[in-house]
Amino acid sequence: MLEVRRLGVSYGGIRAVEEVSLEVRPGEIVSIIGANGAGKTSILNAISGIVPPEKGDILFEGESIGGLPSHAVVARGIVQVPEGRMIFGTLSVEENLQAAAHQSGRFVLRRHDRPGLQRLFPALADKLDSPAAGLSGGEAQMLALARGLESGPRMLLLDEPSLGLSPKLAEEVFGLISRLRDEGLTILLVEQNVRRTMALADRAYVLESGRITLHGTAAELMSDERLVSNYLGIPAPESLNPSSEEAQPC
Amino acid sequence: MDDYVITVLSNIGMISFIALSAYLLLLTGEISFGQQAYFGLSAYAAGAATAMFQMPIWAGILVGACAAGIIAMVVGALTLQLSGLYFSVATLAFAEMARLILLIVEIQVEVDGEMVGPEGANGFHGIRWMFERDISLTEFMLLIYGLLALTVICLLLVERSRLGSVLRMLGSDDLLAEMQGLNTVRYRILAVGAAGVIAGVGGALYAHFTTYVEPQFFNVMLGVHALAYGLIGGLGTAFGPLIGVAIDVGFLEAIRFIQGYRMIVFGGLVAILLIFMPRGILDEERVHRLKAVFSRRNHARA
Repeated sequence: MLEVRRLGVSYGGIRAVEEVSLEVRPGEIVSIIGANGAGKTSILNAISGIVPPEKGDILFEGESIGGLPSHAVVARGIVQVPEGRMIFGTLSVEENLQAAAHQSGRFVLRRHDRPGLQRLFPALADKLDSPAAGLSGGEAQMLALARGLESGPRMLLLDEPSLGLSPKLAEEVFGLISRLRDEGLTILLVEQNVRRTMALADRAYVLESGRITLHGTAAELMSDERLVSNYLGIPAPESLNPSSEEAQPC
Repeated sequence: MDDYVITVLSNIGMISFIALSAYLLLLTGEISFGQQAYFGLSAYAAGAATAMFQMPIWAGILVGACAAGIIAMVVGALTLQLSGLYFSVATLAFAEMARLILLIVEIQVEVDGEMVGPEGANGFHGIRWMFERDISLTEFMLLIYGLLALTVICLLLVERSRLGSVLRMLGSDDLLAEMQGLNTVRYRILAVGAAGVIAGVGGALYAHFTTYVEPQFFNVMLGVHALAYGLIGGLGTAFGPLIGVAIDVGFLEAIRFIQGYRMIVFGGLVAILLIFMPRGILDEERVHRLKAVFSRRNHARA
């Protein structure tokens, strides 16, 4: 469905993505994991047209979308939900949703589709008239997600949807992502919460300094020592020797 | 009402158009120091239509407003690549350019044995539609307020619609708006065009009310005031800039003893409001709250 070929991205001469190739198939949740500054967001920004690719190409359903303006990428069916719960604070919840709903898609969650909103975003359904600035962090993230669905995308690019949320709210967001997949959406997910992401994703790519260093199915990666030690914070097996720990004087 | 009151009220009405014009752009996040150009160009175009070419007033207003709208869209297409301060400076430069051009334009035609038309720095005399038709000041004031009401109703309808949300989205985060699939450039050009038309209607009325226009009137202070009206009155609703105009032209005109200090009072008022109410008296939050109060009252009645 989406194919990124040898993508390179630079900001003012500084290389953020060296060379990345990845693929997302219809109906999959694919995750990109990596440390801060590895270039995860830059990949999403290049796909959604916020930054032009410096080299390489991006294909969506066989057609090149590399370098198209953002609104044209959205029109093709790819929507990015940016990091940091970016919502339009001065607008009401409904206005936030309404303005983005310009293509009649499958998910149109406006007032006339209260059941849809109620089903996926119960927290928002009762707050349509409230100013978005007054929403809690979890609600704001739900609004950002709901707004992303308004233009009827076939593919979502989610950038750190659980960032800064309490574990309970983060769990809600992950639950929602899996429900969206069940509704037929394809999802490319960038996340810091590796353990939770791997439980959700079909496949994942590990990004380090602008290059893919590992990729595979979630199950394969979870059994990979390097990934487990680097991203899950569990020390490598040899240092797990209990006797050496006990030997330390208190 | 005596003529003085009618003149003040008419001025409030006509200046309201340029205030609404600047307000529309403020909504989209653009600070234009050049809306006076569209007011002025339309005043000349509309004046020329009725005085030089004997068109009826409605055609004059239409000619002025369309000319202003088209020029605004062309200028917009050229300057919207620029963002923030650069856009503001470009609009100011364009407006000054337009004013300087009007200072040298001399086109005179003979109408009933008299030469009529713009005379460069001497201005454009003889836009006498009101006298020729024997229209009273009161009648003209009604025309001004009729068109103003129409403009405000259109803006209120836009604000309630999806388009209004889109314009506010552009104003709060351009990139995020683009990420929602909105063609931000197209919406911006639409907004500058509409703002040009609104300023143009005001300018066309102004030319016919005063019967005489000169380039000097359309200087940058008019544009600065136009911006200030929205910032004082509030950016939450189209009524905001009208309150701004009423405060400046109405209130400050009423307390005549401050005459010479008017600009000082006005400037101070702008500074104080920008500190304590950065988005004006009727900002988005207060408008939300007012709306909530009104809808509760309606529910209670039902």
